[in-house]
Amino acid sequence: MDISLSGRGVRLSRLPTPDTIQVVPAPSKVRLPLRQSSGSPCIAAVEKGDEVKLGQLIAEGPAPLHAPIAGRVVGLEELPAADGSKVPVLVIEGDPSLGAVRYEADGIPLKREPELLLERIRMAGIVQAGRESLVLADMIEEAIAPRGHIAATGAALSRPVKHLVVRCLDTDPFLANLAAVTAGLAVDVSDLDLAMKVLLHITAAEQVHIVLGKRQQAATLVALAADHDWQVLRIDDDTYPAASDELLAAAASGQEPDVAWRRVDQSGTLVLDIDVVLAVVAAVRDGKPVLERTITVLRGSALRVMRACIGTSFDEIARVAGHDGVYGKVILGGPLQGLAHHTTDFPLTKASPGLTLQEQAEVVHDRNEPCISCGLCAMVCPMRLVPGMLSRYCEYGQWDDAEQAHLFTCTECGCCAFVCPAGRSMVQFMVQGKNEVLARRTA
Amino acid sequence: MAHKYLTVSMSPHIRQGRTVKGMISTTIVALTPAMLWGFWQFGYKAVILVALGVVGAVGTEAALCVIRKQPLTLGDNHAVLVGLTLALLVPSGVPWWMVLVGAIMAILVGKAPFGPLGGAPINPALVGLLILAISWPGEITSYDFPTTADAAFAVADIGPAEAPVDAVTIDPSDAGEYCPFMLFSGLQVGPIGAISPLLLLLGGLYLIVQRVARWQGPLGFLLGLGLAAAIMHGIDPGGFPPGSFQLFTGMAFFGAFFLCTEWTSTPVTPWGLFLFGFGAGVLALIFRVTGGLPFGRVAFAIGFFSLLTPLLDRIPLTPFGKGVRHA
Repeated sequence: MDISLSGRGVRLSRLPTPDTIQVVPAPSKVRLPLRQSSGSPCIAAVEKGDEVKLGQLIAEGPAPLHAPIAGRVVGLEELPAADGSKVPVLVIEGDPSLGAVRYEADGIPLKREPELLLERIRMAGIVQAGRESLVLADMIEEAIAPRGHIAATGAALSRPVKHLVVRCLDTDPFLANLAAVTAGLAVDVSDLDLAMKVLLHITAAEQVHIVLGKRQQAATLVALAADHDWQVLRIDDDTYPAASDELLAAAASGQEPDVAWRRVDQSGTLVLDIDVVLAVVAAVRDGKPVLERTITVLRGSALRVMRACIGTSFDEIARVAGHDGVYGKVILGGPLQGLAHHTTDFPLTKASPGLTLQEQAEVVHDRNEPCISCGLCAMVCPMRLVPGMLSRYCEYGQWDDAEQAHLFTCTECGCCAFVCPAGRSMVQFMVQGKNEVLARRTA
Repeated sequence: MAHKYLTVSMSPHIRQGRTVKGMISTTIVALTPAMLWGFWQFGYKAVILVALGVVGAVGTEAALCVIRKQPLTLGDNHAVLVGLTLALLVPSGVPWWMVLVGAIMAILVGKAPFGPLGGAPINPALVGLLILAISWPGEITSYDFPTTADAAFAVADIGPAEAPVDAVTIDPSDAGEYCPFMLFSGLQVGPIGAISPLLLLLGGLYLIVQRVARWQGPLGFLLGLGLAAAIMHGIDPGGFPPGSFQLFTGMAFFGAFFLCTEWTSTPVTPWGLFLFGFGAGVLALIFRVTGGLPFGRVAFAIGFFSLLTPLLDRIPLTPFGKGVRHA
């Protein structure tokens, strides 16, 4: 099986994966936004003045939040998030003498009921980073939720997860988190083995697919896949967005999922990042919640993969990576799908896969000249749309036309804007159009 | 960094660096080999005509910008491309003022009324050319005999007077004696820039590789013209020249690679573009075998199909995930 983009997408050389993951020392003060996923925000379970241990539950919600350092809660303040909204933020000042929570380990997770395992996954607060930043437990629940019930008997109509796809390289070619984590598996794949057993136990998926780049070295992983009869999907490293959820789901299942109005995991295919899969082991075997994450720091062509506590300031992460504080643009995530933020004075969340620092000279200013109908966008669009026409519908407020032209099939990958010779801000138009259509629906 | 707000914008935060100017310049570069071949074959007259075409188009656009008190739009080189395309599509024997008139009309009638670049429904160069073809049908067919083509035409044993390029005006039995290879390599009579299908093909492939042009248009056009010609030739080999003759003469290759690939006047969708090319190819052949036009049949056919572009763009697409019904 191969990913058939048939010449679509854009060619972008993937930067080499660094050999080591650099660890950012735990800071003396962390700030924890109570919204760390696309789900509803968490509700603080501690108050100002409380003392918290390392790993203690401090906020409850779809993805519960745990203290990444031991210390004292000094306040609940508000910070502007990258999307412009204000998020409540818990501030903890470190005090290592308070110690750590003893996690409830479990030596025999595979003997447990799937429901219990799923609950442990939920309690660990695992979030899959990226544009949508979904809560892992929600993704699994969506995927295995019954389609409906037989009216007479109340029996559930099951909808089995057919394909479980594990992504080992980032969708954005300028990020290297997943590749670095995969490289770290070179010696020992037992954790991954156990994680997959747990996930298969929960989802009863029929087929596992391991997604690797064609250039990616992963001998032990490939051997493990061969042992278990998992499919290894090799995709082109340098074609963006070959590793997107939608295209991987299509390649794994042999059928294109309808992505308008619904998520890929509703089509019987679950696409998970390898770091999320590994977090499952920590959750169900060790009882350990998510306290840190890998983050790619990119400046120019200098790429580093770091590991930092959530709540660490991006300023601090950039400083450890060796960058000073003068930037033109700061992007949370990769340059292709990340969100620009107006300041680096914002903490790392579970949903931040990267930090891209651009110089003033690198900052793109969209010229937004009139469309010349060159058709390049239609040539590269992985969703086979005509972005040029969609962008014009959205520009001129023809929301119904835009919706009819499959606006909601757009995944905002940005290929169209990347190639547009007229310098049109295509994704901006698409997002605006989607919001307008949604607003009209709910009105 | 106390309160210094940084730039915020929607993703993606990097660009390939393409510009409209760059795409136009690439097209001009792709036209250069065919243009130089024309200069070599037709001499200084061709150089003067091309220069007049470019000067006329650029001057008109500049004058219009000044009159309308708008910023100069010459920066994107589009006027240069329009003037160049027009001049390359006229024979070298036409009076000098015709090219100038054509270039002025191309900008004045074909481009300016439709606003900024991207608005013109028909390629402005074609508008200029068609105005010339309609207004001066006698002068526009003033073909010169190319300098190095004696050997080529000795084969066909046919003089320049009887060898205007449009296929039908030639006795079909003579057409059969043309060597397709010579026609293809550029040893023939025709408009300045359109006599060498080989060089036009190279330029066109360069555009396609550079992703400045899309392959569906040229392929559709050549298929449409070639198939229709082959069918006609099959029905009556004595009455109609073979497909290779129809493809390698006149503006066929120029039309395929430089008119069917022009952005604004062609459909955006891949299938729309293919149908555009195919339809224009068939129509060009119909004009060639039945029409009373002395010149520019390919140009007329492509211009006509440009008017159908909005319709062809309405062909429904099957985007990702919409082709297969899900349970």
